[in-house]
Amino acid sequence: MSSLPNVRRPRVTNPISPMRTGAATGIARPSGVIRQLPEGWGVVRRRISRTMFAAIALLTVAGVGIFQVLQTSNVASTGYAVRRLESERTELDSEIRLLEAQLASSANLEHLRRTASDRLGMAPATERLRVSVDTPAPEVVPLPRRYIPTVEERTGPEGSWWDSVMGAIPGVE
Amino acid sequence: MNTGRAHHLTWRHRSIGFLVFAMFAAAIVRLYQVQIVDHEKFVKEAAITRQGVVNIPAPRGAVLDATGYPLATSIDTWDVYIDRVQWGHQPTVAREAANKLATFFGLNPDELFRLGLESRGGDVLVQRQLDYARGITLRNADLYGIRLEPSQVRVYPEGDIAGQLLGYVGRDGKGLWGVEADFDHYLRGKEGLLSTERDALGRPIAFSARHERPAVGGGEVQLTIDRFIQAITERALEDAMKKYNARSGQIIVMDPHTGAVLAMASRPSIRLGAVNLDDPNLADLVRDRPITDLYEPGSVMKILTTAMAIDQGLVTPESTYLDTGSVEVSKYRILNWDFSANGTTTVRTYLQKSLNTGSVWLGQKLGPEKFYEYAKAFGLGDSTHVGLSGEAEGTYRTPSDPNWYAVDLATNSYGQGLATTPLAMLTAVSSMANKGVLMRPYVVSKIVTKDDVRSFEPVQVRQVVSPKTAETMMGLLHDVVDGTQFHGAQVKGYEVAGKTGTTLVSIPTGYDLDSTIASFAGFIPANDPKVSVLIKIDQPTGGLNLGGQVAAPVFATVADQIMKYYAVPPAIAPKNLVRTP
Repeated sequence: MSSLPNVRRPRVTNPISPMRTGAATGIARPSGVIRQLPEGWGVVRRRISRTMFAAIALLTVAGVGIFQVLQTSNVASTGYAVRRLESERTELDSEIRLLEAQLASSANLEHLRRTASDRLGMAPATERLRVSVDTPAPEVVPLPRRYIPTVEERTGPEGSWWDSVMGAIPGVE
Repeated sequence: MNTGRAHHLTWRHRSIGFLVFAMFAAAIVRLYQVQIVDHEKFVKEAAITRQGVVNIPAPRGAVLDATGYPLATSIDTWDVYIDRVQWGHQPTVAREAANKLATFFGLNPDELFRLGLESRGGDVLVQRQLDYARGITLRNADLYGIRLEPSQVRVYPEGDIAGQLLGYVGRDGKGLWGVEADFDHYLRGKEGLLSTERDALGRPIAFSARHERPAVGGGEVQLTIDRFIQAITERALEDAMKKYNARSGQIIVMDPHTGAVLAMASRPSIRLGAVNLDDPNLADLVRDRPITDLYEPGSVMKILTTAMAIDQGLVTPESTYLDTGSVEVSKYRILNWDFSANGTTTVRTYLQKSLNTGSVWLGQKLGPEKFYEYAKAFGLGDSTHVGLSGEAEGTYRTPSDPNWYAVDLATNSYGQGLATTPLAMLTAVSSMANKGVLMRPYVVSKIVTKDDVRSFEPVQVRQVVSPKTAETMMGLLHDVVDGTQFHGAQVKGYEVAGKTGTTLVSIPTGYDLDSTIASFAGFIPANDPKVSVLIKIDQPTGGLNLGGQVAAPVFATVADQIMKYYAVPPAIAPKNLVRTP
């Protein structure tokens, strides 16, 4: 094994330790058969230099720091994105309300009358002709959805059949 | 190869390493101090300086008509303020902002700048209720010291119809009158709050301590008013007001079977989008006269007097009395409105000719006890409990009052000397079209809030007269209109039932002999009434002033259009008018 200047040779423990020979366990090995381990085998304890330790510590701290900075900035940018989306949602809600009001204004009776007379050249009917048809009239839903109540009316839970049977018995509630 | 560099750590390396280590150590110590030792102190300081609370406005709910169309709704706007403190700190930057803001609004920049600096009363309001899209443009311009606060403005897509009924809101968005005030609790919603930490620019810091109470939008109040019928009545009333140069007028349209008020028009009225709270005549304009004003119903009352007598079995349509043209009651002489004497007259004819002598005869046959008992049952001395504030109660004297005289019964029988609201009168008369059952009128059919729906169903008040009496009365009232040649209330193709009324206007000293209230209460179609309508035109001038001349033609106009709107097939139609494929 060649040696380099300023590099300490690692300490090598005795390759034939009592543990390996079985002396400690009390198990006898065949005498005279001591196998020689190759050089470099066995438990090696290297001494880590202080510089290396400091470098590793610095790297660890820097790594954790960078990780935290990255994480925090990521969270912050996500937070701003959420905030921006909330703001956009608020603006869209406002625009929806505005458009609904505009739509309602467009369905204003006076506006319709003026459009019919001025733009389409229509005039009030002077004669009426009624034609009976057996097709039901279409349902009139002229409004934005928001203006149509969507909350379902609450109805009480339906009683089971035995409730009605029991209820029919006089004196039983 | 020997480079001359040392292959071991020199003192320089060690010095740099030590410095790096020292700096790290110092940073760690400082962090330890800030984050751990003085943590509470800095948290409190940050909370004081960076905590911001923002009010989140709740959109006010809409008032809808029976078809769900919004008669009143709110849209978002902005109020634009100058932050006086910021402008004071940096006048140079503020000057630039003032120039841009002045350009945006078309104002004088010098004046705006001076206003922003000189004001001492906090922030300066530059523009209230700025259009939402323009506000966004202004906000994106990011002008120094300019703050935009969200606000709302009430809009009325159908214009000013049902103005008194809808009422109006104040600048703070609270209802001040009409349905807006009566149902403000449901309409206004709950303002939200957002408490966040803010950065140096005042923006909320993401994922910082954030407490939010979301705004709850206002509920929606749906009326029984149908905007098509409301528009028909308002147009007809407007025309009548001009034609007869009347002082005021009201038209009410009701579903006689449910009591739902389909239209309630009144003139004079307000312009909903431009209510002037400083106008001294505001109370006159906003008063919802159909429910707040009492009037003497005149001959329309004969409908009820006749029904009482028939219901008591005292007369039939063919019963007769001798009409000498006048009748003496106590010391008073009561004449027919046209001073006519008709000899032997049937109940049917008395009603057709609207003879006062006939109703006095019926009133005397009934006697005061029964008459006032029925009057009470018809709801004349009470409010209708329609659910709107300001409703007046009817009034009349009864024999238990010390000021009651026998002549009161006589005059009350033809609608003088007692007062009621137009709505109460129409409600009472509508019972004839509903098998004698008096319904409670209502104008709000549904309230829809975030988590509840409240529906208002028709309420039967009481059976006032028997179904047979009601049916008989409908026949008599049909004869009044369609049995009289050239009656003003006739509608081509449809059978109409109804009765005119003309009464003198009461004044503190008695009656104004030159002023009348012309009215007509009727049903269409007569055989199965879809609607009952009351027309009341106050103090018409220009020659025509009787109910048959003034109010009946208005009824004909309104009823004809309502029948078209409801697509009710005409009952009396030439054969070529109806074609079946």
